[in-house]
Amino acid sequence: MTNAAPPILSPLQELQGIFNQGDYNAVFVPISEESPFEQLLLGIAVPEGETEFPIQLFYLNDLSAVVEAQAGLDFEPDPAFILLFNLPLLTDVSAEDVPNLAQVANLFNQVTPIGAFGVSLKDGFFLKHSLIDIEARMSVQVLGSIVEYMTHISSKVLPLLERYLQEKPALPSFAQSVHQIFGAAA
Amino acid sequence: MINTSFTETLETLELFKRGFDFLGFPTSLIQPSSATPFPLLVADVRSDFDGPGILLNMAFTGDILNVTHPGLAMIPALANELKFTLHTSYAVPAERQADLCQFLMVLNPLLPVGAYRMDAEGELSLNYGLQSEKRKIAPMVVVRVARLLGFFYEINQPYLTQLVLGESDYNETVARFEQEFGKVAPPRGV
Repeated sequence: MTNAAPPILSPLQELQGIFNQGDYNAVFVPISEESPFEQLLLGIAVPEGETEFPIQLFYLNDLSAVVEAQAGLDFEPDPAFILLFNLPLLTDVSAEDVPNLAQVANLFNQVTPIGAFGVSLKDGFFLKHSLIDIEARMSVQVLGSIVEYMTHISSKVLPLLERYLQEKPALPSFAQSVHQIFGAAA
Repeated sequence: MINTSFTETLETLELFKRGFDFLGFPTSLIQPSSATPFPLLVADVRSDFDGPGILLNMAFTGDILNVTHPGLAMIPALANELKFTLHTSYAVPAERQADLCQFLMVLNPLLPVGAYRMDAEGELSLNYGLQSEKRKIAPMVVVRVARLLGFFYEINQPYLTQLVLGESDYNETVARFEQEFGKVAPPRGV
């Protein structure tokens, strides 16, 4: 009698298991017409607010492979696994607001120790972080604290961002509010 | 006098230094002093040794925060984080800062690791934090991150220079960047 071989999991499916062990709700999105590369979606509710931040995780290697294939390129696969965390904060931004929001994103980048805020017409206003996956299985403690920090700082940034878009204050006074709220150590 | 709690950090940074030495990148391990009160590894990551140096600083965020904010409770991701900082020589004049910020929003998503950031004084740096469960990570991983940051900075440098010196505005800089690397962003106002 032979035992059935355990199913081979992709690195993101393994990560899903790690997150779910840590009481996170991780949903694995396989390759499909809508998603040309595998993704993992995490929905994190912020206790003090009602906002739920959806974090998208995927390997940059998978995205690069899709882009290169579409461009007809055939590069050697990168041996370093780079895990990308993407947290969209505003999906719609106007072309008129992008230049000012670029300065606002740079202000937030002065205070966030993890990841970088960015803005574009295509992707809106977002927080991104990349992690070189140096171990076959990253610990849920490290992964979880990255995710929690991203949601924590986003819960502080989002009201400031909304206020900025409504009131359009002068950048120096807005910078002062940002530094007052975050202090030296975010 | 060296804080004895830094002994393990110094051993770990020495291990990373050997990785850089092996590949011929000049490095210095800086002992804690009044000027830099935590251990610091500095590597010159330029690819062309005839060109100007590109110095990359590496230190553990936990050590920095212990000095700057003693007693601060740290989240696990930061306690063992290795922080990479590439201080550029750019001091961005006030009238160029808006254009530069917008160009950084084009560059940052293209970087596989790290992000550029301009501080309140207009100094531009490229930063990355590598989180890990333990500090003693493979030196080749550290060298790889350092080389990635150096490589992308070398590619971006001519465009940053044009913009900071006022030789081209945001739209012109993006147009030149796209001539070399393909379409990356809509022009301003579109």
